[in-house]
Amino acid sequence: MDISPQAIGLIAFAVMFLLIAIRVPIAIAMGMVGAVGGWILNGADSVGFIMGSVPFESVFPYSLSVIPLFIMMGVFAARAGLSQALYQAVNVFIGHRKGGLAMATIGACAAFGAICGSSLATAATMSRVAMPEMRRRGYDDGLASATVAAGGTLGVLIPPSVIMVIYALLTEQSIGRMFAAALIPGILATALYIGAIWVRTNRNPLLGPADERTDWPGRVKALKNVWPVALLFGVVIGGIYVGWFSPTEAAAIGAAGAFLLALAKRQLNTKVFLSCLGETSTTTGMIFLILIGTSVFNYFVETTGLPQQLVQQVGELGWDPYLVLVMLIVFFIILGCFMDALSMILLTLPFVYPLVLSLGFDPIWFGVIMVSVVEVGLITPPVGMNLFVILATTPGLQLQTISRGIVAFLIADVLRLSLLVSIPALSLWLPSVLME
Amino acid sequence: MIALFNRWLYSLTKYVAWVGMLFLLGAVGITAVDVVMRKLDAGGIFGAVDLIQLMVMAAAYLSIPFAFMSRSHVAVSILADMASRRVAALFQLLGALLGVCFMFSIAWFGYDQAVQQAEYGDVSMTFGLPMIYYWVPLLIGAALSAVVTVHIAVESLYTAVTGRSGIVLEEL
Repeated sequence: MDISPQAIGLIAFAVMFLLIAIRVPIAIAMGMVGAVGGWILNGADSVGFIMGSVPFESVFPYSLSVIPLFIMMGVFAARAGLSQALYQAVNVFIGHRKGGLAMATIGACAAFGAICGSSLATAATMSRVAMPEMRRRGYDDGLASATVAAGGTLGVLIPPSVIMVIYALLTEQSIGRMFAAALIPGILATALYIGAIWVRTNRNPLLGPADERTDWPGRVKALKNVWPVALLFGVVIGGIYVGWFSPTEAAAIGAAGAFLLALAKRQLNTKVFLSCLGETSTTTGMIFLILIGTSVFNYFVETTGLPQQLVQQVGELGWDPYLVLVMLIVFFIILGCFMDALSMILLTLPFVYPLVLSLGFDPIWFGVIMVSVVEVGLITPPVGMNLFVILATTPGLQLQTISRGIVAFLIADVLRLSLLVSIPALSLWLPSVLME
Repeated sequence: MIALFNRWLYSLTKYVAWVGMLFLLGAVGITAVDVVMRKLDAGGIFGAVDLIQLMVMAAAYLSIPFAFMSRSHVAVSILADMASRRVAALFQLLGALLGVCFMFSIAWFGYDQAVQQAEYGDVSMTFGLPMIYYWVPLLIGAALSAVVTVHIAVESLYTAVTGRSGIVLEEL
């Protein structure tokens, strides 16, 4: 019986999802299904070629150096003790309002996201600073924990972002353009999260009691402590746009800068330094193994012709491109409930990207939307990774409590996605100004 | 026995990962010096891109075994969390066996490619570094990962049979 390559591709997909569902590491599931699928389609010789060359080629390109360097920058930045200063700096301005501490947490997360490209690191770092403070001031646990979880997602959206770098590399887009495109959506996300807190605490002031007002000398003093963050962000991101260095060089300078900051703030002893290396190492190993598994899988997928068939069939349906886009977003939100952000992007991009291009959408704009949707997955129960980070760092917190609090932020996310989809200029205006 | 081997393997992969991270710090240093030298119009470091590629290759592949050992590779655990300990161990056994196949294949077929490139005398673009240098971390990382996944498979089998874990996960 002859089975078409497309049918083999579909069966392979089903097997891969089954393996992922029973806890096979995603990189291994993708890699093995890709290798065995390639064997079935192209014979045993092709497997030797693929397994001998693809794992090398998927790590070798110079452009990929940016990934571990930004990871290292984020890890050192998280250990440099800057989170407390950021939190205080925002708090002295808005802490006297209802829900002010929660709003300050969102503001500090946004600022921290500007020097740390990881959502989990932002959530973990800020939860240690903000959760005890909000609990001490009598904030509702649901609001406080959900604020930190949602604020953590700003680390993915506000540049520099590791996931955005990976999207840009895989789709051969400019990393600088991606970063510029994400800046306004990042600020919009911050504003909407603060709006969500404002609405909740105005309806029920007991959720987040107001703090005492800080005088202006106190505010100026607090601001003085955050200059290293502004400097690091300015050098890394500003350096890319004024042409001082490439994204890879910016990441290396950022890593060196974050390391020196941690050193200057006396946060680095031998134990902490080795712990930083361990953390950078596990994240680097995890991301690169997924890249290797994805490359092997994509090699197989291309030979099945499935992406082309998907593009052709969707084209024949004659649907409105925006309807297809909304369906993709819904699909990503559902998938995000069960999969982590990086795997989701890497798994679906070979199919979704050609489809999006065929529908005439801008790849940079779609990248921002895709990363935004993936972000939603980070705070969606049952497997939103940020929720578990907050649970792990906050004693006595229940998943039900944080899940209850997260609803307002999910509504803010849906509103933001609607704005991003309906007004592409929110993403595309800044890169067109900066990169012309 | 399993616990002892686990401790030994954990230490080995951790030290190997630290070596990988020293390479990454090397990449940071070279890039920073290169940028500064170019700004000073001193022409930068000759072959910096080749060196950084080598260092990142080492950082990536030498990190993968430790990521296996510290169970950091991303997996979806909803079904496994609902299953009994023995069934979850069987799932893990399957994942580990597939991991053995995958990492062993990378090492095995990679070795062929590496030997071939060494015989042809392939070198890097600018600096002229022999390409075999780039293959060394790949082969070490893949082979060590294969050993780690064999260990995880044995441990999972032990748990599936006895219902008890053979190890205690150590802190990073």
